[in-house]
Amino acid sequence: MRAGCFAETRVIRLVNRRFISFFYNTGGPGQGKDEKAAAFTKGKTKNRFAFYAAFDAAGEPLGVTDIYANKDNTFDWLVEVLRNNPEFDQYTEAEEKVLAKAKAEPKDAAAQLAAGQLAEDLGKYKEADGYYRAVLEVSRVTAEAGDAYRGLLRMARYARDWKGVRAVCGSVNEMKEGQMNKLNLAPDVAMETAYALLGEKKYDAARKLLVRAIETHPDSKRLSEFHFSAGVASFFLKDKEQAYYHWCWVVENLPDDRLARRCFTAAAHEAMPYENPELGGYAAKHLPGGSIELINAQYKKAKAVYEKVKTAK
Amino acid sequence: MRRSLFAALAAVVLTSPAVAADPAACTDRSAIRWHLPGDFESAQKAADKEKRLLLVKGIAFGVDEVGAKDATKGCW
Repeated sequence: MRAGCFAETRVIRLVNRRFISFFYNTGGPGQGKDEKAAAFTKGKTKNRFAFYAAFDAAGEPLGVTDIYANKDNTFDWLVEVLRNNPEFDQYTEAEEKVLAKAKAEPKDAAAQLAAGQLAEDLGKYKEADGYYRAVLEVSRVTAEAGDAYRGLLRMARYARDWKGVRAVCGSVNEMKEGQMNKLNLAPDVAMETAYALLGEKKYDAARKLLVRAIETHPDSKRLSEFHFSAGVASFFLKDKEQAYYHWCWVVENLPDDRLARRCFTAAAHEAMPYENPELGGYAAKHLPGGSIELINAQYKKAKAVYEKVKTAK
Repeated sequence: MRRSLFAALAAVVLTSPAVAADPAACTDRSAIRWHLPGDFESAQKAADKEKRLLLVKGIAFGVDEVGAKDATKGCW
């Protein structure tokens, strides 16, 4: 989950906005045990060792995900838990002000954008869509417009609406080049188009686009996404050398990045004890259980390939 | 001569795909704010005070020393 849902932007934003998060070691090797947490959760989860569960502060269990829920169904589960327990989903005072301002000032792009981002964080995509389009009605060439386009692209991607992704990208591409560069939307158009290509299993086209994006936008905050997805495309093209290169590149060069663990897990996929949904559900059948030592050893092998490919470039 | 050599080297470094031009600029540091193992009581108090639900991740696989102190690092 650490490489999957916990590294996913919309999960991070929703969890930080609406929940209090805690993790502990339930009985495996190493550190991180917590007696108070163990007493709190005792007898309340189907699997007492590996779980991701919601409780109220008094200890009432209110939901649990599937043991290896992926990033999309974890987000859906979090939204459902909140809808089922509205007393824990109340707006804060600051959030109420954001919504009031958006209502009072429909032509204020910043107010509409803030409301859109709040709605998107909470999984209220229809409302968010309305707010983002209101931003674009005010102007399509401001910084707020850039963020509104990004929001529309993300939500189309979450819905796997590749036609919608391309429609928004088309709208962005209609801008004059200077305007698009001013809003720095080119990396977003590249990455979201790549997601559409990956979703359509057009792995060669996706990889070409991503390699170009890596070269063209080396300072983008989406660089780790470019590399991770280039690795995924390479994996499906059965080009493991390039897959290892891209994944290890993130681990070695951007160790503090949100996707570093996802890239590490992908690079070590042959030693992981569970399926990897980013790699089409790849499961290493020959390794029952697994261990941190085995996983680290597998990453070391992947890193050796990375070093070889890097030297050859 | 020295200036043109420096410029040539700079061009190679800046256009090389092997290293990020500026890791600080392109690192996405967004992350879940976790309460760490050993700190369950403060997590529970925060949930109570803020009227929010507690999300608890139970880990069977093990947690290493680094991961127990920093949720964004180590192995867990």
